[in-house]
Amino acid sequence: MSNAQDYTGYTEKDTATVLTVAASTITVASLDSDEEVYVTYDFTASYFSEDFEHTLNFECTATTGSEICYLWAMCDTVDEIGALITADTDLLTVYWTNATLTLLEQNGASGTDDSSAAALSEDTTYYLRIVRDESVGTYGTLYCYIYTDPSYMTLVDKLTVTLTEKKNFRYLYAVSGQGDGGGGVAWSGTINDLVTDVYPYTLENMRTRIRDLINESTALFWTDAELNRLINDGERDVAIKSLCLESIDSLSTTDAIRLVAFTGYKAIYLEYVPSGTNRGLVEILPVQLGRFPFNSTEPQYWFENGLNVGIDPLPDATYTLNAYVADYPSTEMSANPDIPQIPDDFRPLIVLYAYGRALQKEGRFPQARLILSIYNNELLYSKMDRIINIPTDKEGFKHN
Amino acid sequence: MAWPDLSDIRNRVRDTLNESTALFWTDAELNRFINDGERDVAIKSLCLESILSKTTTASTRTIDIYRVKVLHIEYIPASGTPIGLVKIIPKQLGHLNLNTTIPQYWFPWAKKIGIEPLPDAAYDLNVYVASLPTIEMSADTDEPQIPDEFQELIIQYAIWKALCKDGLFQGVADIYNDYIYRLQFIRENIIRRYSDNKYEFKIPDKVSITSQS
Repeated sequence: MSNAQDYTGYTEKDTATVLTVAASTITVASLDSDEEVYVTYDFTASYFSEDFEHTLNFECTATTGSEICYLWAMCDTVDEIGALITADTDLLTVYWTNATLTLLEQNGASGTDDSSAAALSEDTTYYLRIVRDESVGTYGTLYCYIYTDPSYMTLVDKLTVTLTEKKNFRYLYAVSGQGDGGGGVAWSGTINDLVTDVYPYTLENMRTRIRDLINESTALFWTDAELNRLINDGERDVAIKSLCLESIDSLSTTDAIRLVAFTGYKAIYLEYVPSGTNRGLVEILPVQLGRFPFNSTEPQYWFENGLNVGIDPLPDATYTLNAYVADYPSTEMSANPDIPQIPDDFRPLIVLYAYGRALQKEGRFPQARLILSIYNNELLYSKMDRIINIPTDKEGFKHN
Repeated sequence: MAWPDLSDIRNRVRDTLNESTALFWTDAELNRFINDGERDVAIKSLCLESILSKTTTASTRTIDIYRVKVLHIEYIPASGTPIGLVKIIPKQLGHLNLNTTIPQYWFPWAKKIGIEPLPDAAYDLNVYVASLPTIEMSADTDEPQIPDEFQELIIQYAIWKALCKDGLFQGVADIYNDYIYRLQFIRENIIRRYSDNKYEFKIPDKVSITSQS
């Protein structure tokens, strides 16, 4: 069986009839804090005994304030999670309350938690990766990565709890109410696609893939720190060469100043955003400045200079622009479950880059050249196939 | 059980590696190569095709499409004939003839699609995409998600990766080249499409047959 969980095979308790359970979606309608509601599965004693990674996504569609919904949990006992916490039961959980997501380890009467810094939004799908890494800290560390996209490119927050006990768990919860709350509140939304697969391109799993290729399963000649550097260098190299980390940045001109700074490796397109219809600007070279006819004082042409875009005609006011830029990865991966920011279809290239560079350390230069030429060819192909955008031409419309 | 599942693929990789049971290459390693191979084939060939239903939001140009590549977009009006949209690049925004406010052009950017003109209402779209496999094969009976005609390529991919571990770089180059050649061949055969052109429909203007005696 694959590791995609089928909620219909889970045990459901829903005395308030607020759940609709389908194979990959649980719909929750006005879950109150005093209702006895949960969906759980018995994986047998001590099943979750080591590192794990679980992914799911959810969307909150309505709240009342002070609402609470447990979106994921692990425990050795079956009951509503809120009631289990009150009873000082050991468990791990991620829950929503008052537009905040909290990661909690309950160890007897003691709870250790971390909450999202900024308020989360209703009617927005959030993608969660919940990871236990037992190699970090005395008893391991629990992470909850919160993203706004299924490719895990936009990280909203990373919750971290240093675990205070080594604990194996039996039951996995796909949803639970508080059970023993005061009532009079409601949480509505959907919880989807619980999968227990490990994401293949975490920092740790990329390291494992490189170690597969260099035939060194644990650090000996190549340290983990070295491989981590090669992996982070690889992400940057892919982003620089392919320009795959695309974003749209909002810029503003200043009266009588030609240049506007942007952030990223390269500006690809510029779009003027007036109150009416947006217009793409024509790219020129500085040698062409002042040689084109202007039909207004609004931005019409642009050029790139360092990390600035220059605007022609010289701006006479504040104009809003959208800059389509190729960005750079903004953070270095350091924790084992961290994921590159570049698009998921470019992440495998990082392994090839790091492998080629690792061979150089061993003095195997012809072999390194072979691998790095494969890497460069694959990178070029990926860029031509998926980054370079060819608009539809006349030929594409020829018909009878 | 349909062919091939994870164990079928692994057995074929082991046949070529001449190691019928795990010794130098562990099953876990080969499983990683196999899953990576399925992803690699899906990325390079764009073979995992599907059609997504999406709706525009008024005053918002872009819609999230987190897939390997967006291939085509079709506007679905509430009534009347659906129509394919023309692909553009952002520099063309505002410079094209727009005869109504309905979606007419699109461009891909940052795993999103941008719609021109800027949507003034909710419009339904069919988005033709190529995707990545969604599930990692882990049990021996798990099967690849990519289409049948591409599945054998996974074996070639796993072999060249496995040969890297053995340091057999001449073999790596040979098997990699063979893998890429076969992948391009099958992509050209199966995935690349052309619309019919005028000349393929030409028939002689007039055919007259005269009897010869």
